[in-house]
Amino acid sequence: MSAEQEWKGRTFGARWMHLSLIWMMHNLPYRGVYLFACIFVIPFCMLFSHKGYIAIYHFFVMRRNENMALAFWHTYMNHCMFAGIILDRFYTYSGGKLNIEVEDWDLYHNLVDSKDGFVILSAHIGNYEVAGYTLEAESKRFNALVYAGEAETVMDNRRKMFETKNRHMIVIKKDMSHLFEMSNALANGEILSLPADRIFGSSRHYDIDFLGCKAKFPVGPFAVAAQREVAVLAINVMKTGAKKYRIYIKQLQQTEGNIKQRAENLACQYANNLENVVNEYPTQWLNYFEFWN
Amino acid sequence: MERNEIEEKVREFLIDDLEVEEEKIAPEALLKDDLGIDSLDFVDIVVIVEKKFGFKIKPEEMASVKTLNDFCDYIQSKVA
Repeated sequence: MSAEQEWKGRTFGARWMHLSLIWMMHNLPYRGVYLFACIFVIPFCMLFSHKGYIAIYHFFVMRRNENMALAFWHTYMNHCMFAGIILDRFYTYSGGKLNIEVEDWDLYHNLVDSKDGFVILSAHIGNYEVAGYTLEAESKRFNALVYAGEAETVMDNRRKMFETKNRHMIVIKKDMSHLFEMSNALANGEILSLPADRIFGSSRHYDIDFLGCKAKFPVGPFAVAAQREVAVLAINVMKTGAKKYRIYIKQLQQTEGNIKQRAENLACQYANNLENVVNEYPTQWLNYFEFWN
Repeated sequence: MERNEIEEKVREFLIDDLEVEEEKIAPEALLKDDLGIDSLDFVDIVVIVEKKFGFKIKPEEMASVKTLNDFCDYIQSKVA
């Protein structure tokens, strides 16, 4: 497995840049900052950050079968979308409110009202972080798996957002103790939210057909759900306009078989659902590395 | 619970749930190196032991457990 396929999960930029961005989102017009980013910052990033740019360009050419000109345009649009998503994230840190619609809200609420724990799987598409702040779960603790090496500003703001609503961050550790924390959270009837499109901690993975080619999906998130035989939701938060999002909730089915078979089946269902979402929102695919084998 | 009953149950879940090859299972087999049990499998084991033997494994108590025999000793000490 290449280093690029291991989860780094760190938001780009130094602390002063993040703080400046929060200040800008608080004091300058949103659209002005967004236009500035699209016109000046993104071409600069595309020019000097080849790896991310090339990976997304390959995604459009090879996975979406687009010609070079269209793929280049969509790569630019993808970067603009990413800028909008990052700006929205800092907009919420600065106290701003986003306009959010939720599909299958009842599905989520029924699980929250039950006594059992459940798993929420997310991917690096759209702006999943919004879900973490939006989905209310006062009767159940909401545990989110996060990368320990994330930028300090982002972690500080996540803590602030989390501390108010019965939420808890499980930090990925080298000794793998986060696996026990995750399993215990489910045993206690809590919610566990974790990314299902990045290999972190353990290097074990499934090679699954995804958009016409094999891609690596981590075993861990699916194994934890299969171990406890809990309900599993795939949640994607897609940007639908300026400061507007739609949350899609889809329940995956636990099937027959041993833990390993059930976990693999969940992974296949997850990849299939993610494929549908990527096809609907291709410019919101935000895995800036060569995702496919 | 008798020792042979513990060994049989452990053998059963190693084969059925963790898909360990039957011929690799021996009392002196090292969990990690011989049976290929990694941290993810270990969490599986915690859940399975909870269901089959009715107690919760504390990860820190497993530090000295290296072989299958050690593991069965550990379970025996808990269910005795």
